[in-house]
Amino acid sequence: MKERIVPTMAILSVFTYYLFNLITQGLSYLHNDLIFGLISALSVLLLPALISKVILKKGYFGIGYILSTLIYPALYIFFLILNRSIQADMVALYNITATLIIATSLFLLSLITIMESKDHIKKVSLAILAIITVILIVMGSREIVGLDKDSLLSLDFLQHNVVSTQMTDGKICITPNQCSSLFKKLGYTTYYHSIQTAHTVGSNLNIGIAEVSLNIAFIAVSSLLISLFLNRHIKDKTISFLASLSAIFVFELGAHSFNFILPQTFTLFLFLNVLLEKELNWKKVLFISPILISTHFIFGPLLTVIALFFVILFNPEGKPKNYGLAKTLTLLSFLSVIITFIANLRGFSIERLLQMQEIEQLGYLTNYYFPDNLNFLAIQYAPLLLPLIVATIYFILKKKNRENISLFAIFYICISLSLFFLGPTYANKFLIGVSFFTILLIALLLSDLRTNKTVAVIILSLLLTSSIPFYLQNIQKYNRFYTQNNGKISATTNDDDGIIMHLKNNRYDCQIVSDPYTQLIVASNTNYQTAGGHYQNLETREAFVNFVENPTQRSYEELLISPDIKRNELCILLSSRLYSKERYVNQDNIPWLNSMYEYEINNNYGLPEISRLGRFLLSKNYEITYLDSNFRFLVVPE
Amino acid sequence: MKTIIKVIITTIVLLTLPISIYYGLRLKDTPFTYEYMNRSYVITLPNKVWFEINGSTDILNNDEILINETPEVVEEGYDIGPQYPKYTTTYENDTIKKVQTSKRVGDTLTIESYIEIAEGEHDEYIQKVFFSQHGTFKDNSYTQEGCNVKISSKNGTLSYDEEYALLMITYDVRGITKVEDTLSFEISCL
Repeated sequence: MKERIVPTMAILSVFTYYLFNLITQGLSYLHNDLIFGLISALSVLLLPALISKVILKKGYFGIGYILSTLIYPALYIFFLILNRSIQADMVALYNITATLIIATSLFLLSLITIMESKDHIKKVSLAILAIITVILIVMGSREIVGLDKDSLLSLDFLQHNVVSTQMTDGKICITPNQCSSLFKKLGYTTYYHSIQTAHTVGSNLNIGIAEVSLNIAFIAVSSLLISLFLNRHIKDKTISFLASLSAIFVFELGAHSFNFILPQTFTLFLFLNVLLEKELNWKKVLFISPILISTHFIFGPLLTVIALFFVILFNPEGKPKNYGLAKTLTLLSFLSVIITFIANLRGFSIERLLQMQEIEQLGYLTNYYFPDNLNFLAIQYAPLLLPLIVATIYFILKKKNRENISLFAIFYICISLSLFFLGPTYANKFLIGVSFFTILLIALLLSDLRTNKTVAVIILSLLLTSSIPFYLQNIQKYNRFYTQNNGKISATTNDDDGIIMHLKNNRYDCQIVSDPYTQLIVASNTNYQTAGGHYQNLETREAFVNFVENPTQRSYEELLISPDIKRNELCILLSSRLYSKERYVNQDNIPWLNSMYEYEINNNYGLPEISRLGRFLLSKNYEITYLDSNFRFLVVPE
Repeated sequence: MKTIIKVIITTIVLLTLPISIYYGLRLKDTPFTYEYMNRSYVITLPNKVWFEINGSTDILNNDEILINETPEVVEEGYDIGPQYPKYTTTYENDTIKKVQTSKRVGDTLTIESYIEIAEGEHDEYIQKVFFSQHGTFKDNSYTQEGCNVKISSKNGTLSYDEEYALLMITYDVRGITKVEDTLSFEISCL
C-alpha cells in the first residue's frame, strides 16, 4: 500500500486544492493562480501520456504519446463544427474541456494507481517526485533573477495566443496566417496552437500565469522524458535524473530547447518521443512524421530525417549491425563541422550570400561571426564543452562501442553545429537539442568508463552546479528586453489591463490601429484584428504617428492607405507608448519607428492633451468609448 | 586509457566549478553593459537608455579640438564575473594630449582623465556625456525609466543641458596646462 502513497497524495492534493479554492476564493482567483496554472498545464501535457498508457496500452512516452496529442486538434475541429452548425460558444466549450482534461488526467492516474503493479507504481511515484523537484528548482531560479509569478518572457507566446483567441472565436485556422496577420511566414500549422489553446483559453488564465505555468510544466515534463531516455541507455535513475537537470539548465538562446514551449521546441519534444519508442523502425517514423512536420515546417522534416538515420544506421535497440556505416557517417558529420567552421571563418554564411533581402528587411545580421560565434557557444554550453570534447574524441577513437547511441549523439551535435556555422538567418535555432545530446554523451562516457556510481553522481552534480551560474546569467541577459521602467521583468504591464477588459466586454466591428506593441497585447488577449500586430509595417507606424501628431485630411488618408490597414472601419487606440517617442533626444533614431523588431513595452507615460486630434476625429464621427491615464480608445458608432 | 580519461574528466569538472562560481558573481551587479566603441565609452542601462562619453567631442575654447583624431585604444583585463575590461584611450595632437582610463567595479564606472594642453590663451575645457533620452537631472543625478546615474567629478563642474540631454564637465584651464580628473558614474536601477 505504501508504494501507492505518492500518486494517491498527488491526486488528492490536486483535487482538494481545486475544490477548496473554487469554493472559498471563486473561479476568478484560480485564473490568476500559478498553482492552478501548473495543474492545468501539467494536465494538458501529461494527458496524452496517460491516454497512451491506459487506452492505447503503450508506453507513457513514445509514439503513443505523439498520437494521443491528436486529441487537441481533434477537439478544435469538433468544436468548430459545433460552432458552425449550432452556433456553440467555442470559449465555453474550451472552458468545460479544460476542467475535463484535469478531471480525466486525475481519473486515469487513479486507474493506474489502483490497477498497476507495485513496481510500476514505484516508477510513477518517482516520476511525480521528479516533476515536483524540477518545478521547485525552476521556480527558485526564477526567483533569483527577479521574476514574478506572472512574468511573461516570450513575445512568441503572445503571438501564438493571437491564434488561440482567433481559433476560439470560430475562425478556421489550419495555419496561423489564415486567421492572424501576425505571421508573415508560413512556418507551421496550428497543431501546437491547439494545445496552447486548451491551456490558455480553456483554463481562462491570466496570460502571464498561462505562459509561466505552461513553460514550467514543459520543462518538468521534458526533464522526465530526458530522464527516461537516459535511463534506457545508462540504467541508473539517479544519474539519469541528474543528467536531465544538467540538460535543461542550459539556456540555449534562440533555440530555447527546454526553456520555452514553442512550435520548434515542441517538435524537439515530439522527436525525443520518437527516439524513446521501443522497437522503432522506419515505418513508424514515417507514420508519425506528418505530426512532426505539421508542428514545424523546418524542424519537423529535419528531425524526421535525423530519426530515420537513427533507426536505419544507429540501431536504437543496440544490435551490432551497421556499425561501420554509422561511424563513417559520424566522421563525415564531424568533418562537416570543420569545413563549415572554416567557411564561416573566411566570412561565408547563407544569410550573407542568399538571404540579403531578408536581412535588409530586418535591418541587421541575425548571426554571430567569428570569434563572437565561438564566444556564444562557450557562454551557452560553458561547463559542458570540455567534457563534450573529451567524450567525442573518446567515442570516435574507440574501436567498438556497446551501442551506436554515442555515435548518434555526436552525429546530431555535428549536424547542428554545421548548420550553425553555415549561418542561415537565426542559425542559433539549429542548436536545438544540443544540450540534451551533449549531456547524453557525457553520461554515456561516465557509464562506458565504468565510473563508480558515487563518483558519477558527484561529477554530474558538479557539472550541474557549474552550469547554473551560466544559466542564470544567460536568462538575465535575455530578460533585459523585458525589463520595465518600474523594475518589473515581463512582456505584459498592468497598465494595459483596463483596455483589455474594456475590449473583452464590448464588441466593436473594426480593425484596431495603435502602436505595434499595444497591438500585440490587444490581439493576444482579445479577438480583435489589429493593423499588423507587433509586425506592423514601418510605413504604417510612420503614417500613424504622423497622423497623431499632425491630424489633417491628408495624413488621415495616408494612414488609411498604409500597408496594414485592411478595413475602412478603423478603431483608434491612442496609447502613451505612442508619445514615448518624445523622450528621445534624437527624433530620427527612435527604435520602434526604425526597426520592425523594436518595441516600447512601458506604457506609463501618460497622455498629453489631444484637442487638435480630438477635433479632427470628432469631425469623422469618432467617439471616445474608453479612457484612462494611458489610453484613449476612439470608435465610430455603428 | 580509461583511467587517464577518468582523471581528465575529474580534473576538468573540478576546475570548472570555481571558474563558474566566479563567473556567476556578476549576478549581484546591476546588469548594465559597458563597452568602448566608435570613440566612445557606451553604457547601456538595463532599461535600454544609454549614455556615451565621447572623447572626440571635447571642447577647448569653443573648438572641438579632437573631432578629427582617432584615439589609440588599449583593452586590458578579463571580462568575467566581477572583472570588467579596462580601456585606456590616448588622443594626441599639436594642442593636446589626453589619456583616459576607464574601469568598472561593481555598479560604479570611473574614468580617470589626464589632459595636457599646449601653452597658450585658454579659458575652459569641456568633456561631454550624451544621454539617449531626456531625463531628470537633479543633485548631479540623472534619472530616467527607473534607473539612476549619480555622477561626480573630482575637479570639474557639472552642468546639464535639458534640451539635448547633455551633461558637460567643465574645467577652468586659465593659466594651467595640465588637468587631472576622475569621473565617477554610480548606477542603480529599480
